[in-house]
Amino acid sequence: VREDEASHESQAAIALLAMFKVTGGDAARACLAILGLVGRGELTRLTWHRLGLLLENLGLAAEDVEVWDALVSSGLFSQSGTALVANSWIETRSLYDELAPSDVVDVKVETIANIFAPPEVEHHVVPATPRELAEAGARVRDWGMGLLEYAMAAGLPGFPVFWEREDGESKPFGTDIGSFAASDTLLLAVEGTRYGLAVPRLSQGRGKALARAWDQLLRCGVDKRDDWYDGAIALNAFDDDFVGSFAKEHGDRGACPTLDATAQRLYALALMTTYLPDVAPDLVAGSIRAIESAARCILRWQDDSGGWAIHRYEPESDWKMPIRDVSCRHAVEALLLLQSLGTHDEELSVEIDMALRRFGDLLLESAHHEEEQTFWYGDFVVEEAGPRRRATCLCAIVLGALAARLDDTRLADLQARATRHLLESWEPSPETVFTVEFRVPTWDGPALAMFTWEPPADALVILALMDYGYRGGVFTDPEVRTIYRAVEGILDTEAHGSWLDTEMARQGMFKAFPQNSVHNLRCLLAVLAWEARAVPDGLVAGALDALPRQRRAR
Amino acid sequence: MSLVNNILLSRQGEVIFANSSAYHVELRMAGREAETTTFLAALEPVDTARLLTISAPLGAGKTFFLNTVLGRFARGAPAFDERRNCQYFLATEFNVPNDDDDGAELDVANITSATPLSSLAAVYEEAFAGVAEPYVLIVEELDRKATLGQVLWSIAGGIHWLTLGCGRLLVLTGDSTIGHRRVQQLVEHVQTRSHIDLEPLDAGLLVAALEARILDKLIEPIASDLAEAERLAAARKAAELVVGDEFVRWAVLPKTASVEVATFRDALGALRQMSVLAPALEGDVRFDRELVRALRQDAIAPGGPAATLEQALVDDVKKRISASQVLSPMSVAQLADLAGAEATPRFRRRAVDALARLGLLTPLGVPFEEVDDRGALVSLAEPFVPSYRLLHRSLAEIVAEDG
Repeated sequence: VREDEASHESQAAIALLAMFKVTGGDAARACLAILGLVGRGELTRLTWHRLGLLLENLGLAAEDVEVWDALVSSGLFSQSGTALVANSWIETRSLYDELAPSDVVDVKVETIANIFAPPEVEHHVVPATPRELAEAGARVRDWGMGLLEYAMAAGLPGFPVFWEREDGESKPFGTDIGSFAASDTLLLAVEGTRYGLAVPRLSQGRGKALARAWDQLLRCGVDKRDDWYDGAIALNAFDDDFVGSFAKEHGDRGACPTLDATAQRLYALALMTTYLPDVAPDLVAGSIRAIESAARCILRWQDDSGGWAIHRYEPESDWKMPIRDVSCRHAVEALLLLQSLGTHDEELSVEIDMALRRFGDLLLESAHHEEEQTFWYGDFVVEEAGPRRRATCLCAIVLGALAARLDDTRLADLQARATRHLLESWEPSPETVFTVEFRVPTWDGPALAMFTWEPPADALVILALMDYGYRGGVFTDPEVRTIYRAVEGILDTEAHGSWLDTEMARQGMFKAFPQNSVHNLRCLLAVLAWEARAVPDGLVAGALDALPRQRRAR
Repeated sequence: MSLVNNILLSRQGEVIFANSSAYHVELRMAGREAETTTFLAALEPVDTARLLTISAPLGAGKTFFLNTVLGRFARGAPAFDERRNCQYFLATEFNVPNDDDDGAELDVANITSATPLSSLAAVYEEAFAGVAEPYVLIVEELDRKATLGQVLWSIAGGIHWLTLGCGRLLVLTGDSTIGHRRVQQLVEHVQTRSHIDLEPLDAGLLVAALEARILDKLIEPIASDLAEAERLAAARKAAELVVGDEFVRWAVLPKTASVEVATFRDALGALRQMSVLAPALEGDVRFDRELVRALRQDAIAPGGPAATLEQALVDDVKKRISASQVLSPMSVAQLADLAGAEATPRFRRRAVDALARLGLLTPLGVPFEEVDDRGALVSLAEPFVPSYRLLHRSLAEIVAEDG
C-alpha cells in the first residue's frame, strides 16, 4: 500500500503486522491488548511501570522490553521522556473499532489474516425466531422437571443452589439447600405457563415430583397468625442462598428469613395455584392462605420510605437493614402478580395497592433525571455506575406494570426514560453480571461478613426492555439489533436447558445455577411475547429484513 | 469406617476448599482480636481527625477484615449506614495532577501549599454530600498496582480532606507500599493515627478454617445426632490430617525464613486441586505426598535468561525441600548468582522482573524506593521469594522423580 493511499485500516494492519514480525506470540497479543485500551480511550500514556502491570494483568508471558520496542516500531506511539504517548487516541479508536476484536486478550494470530481478508460478514446479528425461543424455553422446563424428579428420587429435603452437570445429567453441588432455590427450581418447570408455554401432559412420576416440590415450598413458610414472621419463608436448615442466615446457636428458629425469598415463594405458589391447580388440588386451599400470609408479611415489612430491605426486624429491635433495589423488585413483582391474578380478598387488595402506591412515590421522589433519561442510585443511595445501572434496570422491570396498576402516567414516563438510560452505552455480553453486595440478616443482627450475588445483566436488561416494548414502546433499528445480539449471547451460552453461574465458571467451577437460568428463561420468554404480541408485523420485521441473511451456526 | 474420609473430602472438595468469591462458604474471622480493637477504636466518633493505615500482603484478607469490622461497628450504631457513611476510592483509578507518575512534584513535608489538594479533597467530600457525620473515607490499592504518583496524591488529598471538618476517619489500605518513606512522611501530618499489620495465614488459622468447614459441610449433615464434642473432635482430626503430610504442608504453607507468604487463596486452591487425586479410602483422611502431583506445572518462562533463572530456582527449591530447609528471600544479585549470570539491569528486567510478572517470584520489598537504569521507579522491589506456583512445580517434580 502506498503511503499516500493508505487508509486507516491499512495503516493499522501494517502496524499490527510489524508487531507480529518483530515479536510474535504473546508479545503481539500484548500489543493488541494495549491497542485495545488505547482504542477505548483508557490509555493515552504508557510508562514502563504501567506496561509491566498491564502484562501482569493480562497474564501474558511477554517480555516488556519486546512489547515496548514493538509499540515504538508500530508508529502508533511516540516516545516522550520515559513514557510512550499515543499519537492520537481518537484516531486510534477508529482503527481499533474497525479492526480489533472485542476481546483482545484471546485474539489469535488469525485475526491479523482477517485484517487483510476480512470475513464476508462480520459482527452480524442473528434474530432469534419465536420457534428458537420457545424451544429454548422447553429445554429449560425439561431441565427443571428433571431436577424435581431427581429430588424426589433422592429424597432431598429441598433444592440445592447449584448443580453439577456432566453428560447432560444433573447432580447436587454440595449438601446444602437454599430458600430461593426452593422457588426457583419449581419456576424452571412452570414459569413458561405465564407465557403460554404449556407444561406437557405429565407422566405420573413427573406429576408427583411437581406436586412434591409444591408441597415442600408450601411447607416452608411461617404459619403463626399475628406473629411478625407469619407468612415469611422458613428454612429449618442452613440456607445456601443466604450464607450466614442460619446459626447453630439459633438452630431452633431456622434460617433468618429474607424478604426476597418470601416474595419469590409467593410468586411461585401463585403460579401453581393459578396455572397448574390440577397437579395437586389438595394443595390449592393451603397455598391461597399461604400466599395471603406472605403478601401481608411483605406489606408489614415495607420500610417507612416505601421500599423494602432484605429483612425487617421486629419494631422494638435496634437493628435496621437498608432498603435495596433487589428486594424492592422481588416484593413489587410478587405483589403485582398477585394483583393481576385477583385471587385474594378485596381488603388485602386495597392494602397491596396502597403499598404499591408508596413504592411508586419512592420511585418518583428518588429518580434522577438527565435530559431524556432517568436513573436511580444503587439501593437508592450508591452513585457508582454499576449499582446505578442495576437499580435502574430492576426498577424498570416493574415500572410498566406498576404504572398500569396505579394508572399513573408519571410512572409510565419514568419507564420510557429509564429504558433510554439502559439502552445508552449498552454493550451486550452474556458474561456481564450485576454485582449485588449485601449483608445477610441473622438472628443476631445484620451479618458481619459481606455476601455477593451476580445475576446476569443482559437477561435483566432485556426483561426491562421487553416490558417497555410489550407496552408499546418503540426501539430504533440499531436498538433492535443490540437486543438480538444480547439474545444471541444468551442462547449461545445455554447448556442443555440451563445456564452456569458466571462467576464460578470464570474461576473454573462449572455449575448450573437455577437462579441464573430463571433470569435467562424469563428474558427469552419476554422476547417471545414481544415478538408474538407487541410488534407482530411492524418494527421487528422491518429491522430483521435489514439484517444480514447469513446465519451463524449455533 | 471413619466419619470423615477421602471419599467425602474428594466429593465435596470444591465446597470444603472453596477459595472463590463466587461460591461462599461461611467464614468467621479467627483471631485478629487486637487488630479489630484498633479498628473499632478508630471508628468511634470523636472530633479529631484520625488516620488508620492497614498493610498486608495481597490475599491476606484485607477486604474481609474491613467488611467484618465495619459490620460489627454498624450493628452497634444503627444510624451508621455504611453505604453512605463509608466511601471507597481506589488509588489505581486516580488521575494524578502532574504529568509524571512519580509524585515528584508533591512536597510531602508541606502538603498544605499544594493547590491540587483542595480539588482532590473536594472529590472525596462530594462523595459524602447530603450525609450526616461520621465520615469514613477508605482509600484502597495503595500497592504496587498503583503508581507512586497515584499513591502519594490520593493520600495527600485524603489528609487535606481530613481538615475540612469534624468526625472524619481516613483509612488507607495497601501492601508494603504503606511503608514507603514518602508515604510515611505524609502520614505523619495527622496527629491521631494508628496502624494495623495484618498477619498472613499461618497453620493455626488454616486448620481452624478447615475444621469449621468440615464440621458444617461434612459432619453436620450426616452425624448431627453425635455428641457435639465428638463432632468437633472428628472435624479437628480431619483438618489436621489434611495438612499432616510434610509435602502437602509445604504446598499450602511455604516454609520461608523471616517472612510469611502464605495466603488463604493459594492454600485452599492447592488443597482443592489435590483433593481431586485423593484415593477413595474409607478410613481416616489420608492426604499424602503423592497428591502434590495434582499441582504439576510446566516451565512457563518464554526463553532466554528468564527460562534459565526459572530452572535454577526450581533446582534450588527442590534441594531445599529435600533438605527440609526454609526458602530465603533473595536479592537480585543472589538470583543472578543462582542463574550463573551477572546482575545487570538487563538481567533484572528480562529475568527477575519477567518471572515476577509471570507469578513465579514474589517481591517482598517496598515498591518505588529505587530507580532503575532507565530512570523509572521500581515497583517489583527486592528481595524476592519463590511463589506458590514455582514451589508447586518443584514439589511435583520431586514426587515424580521419586515415583
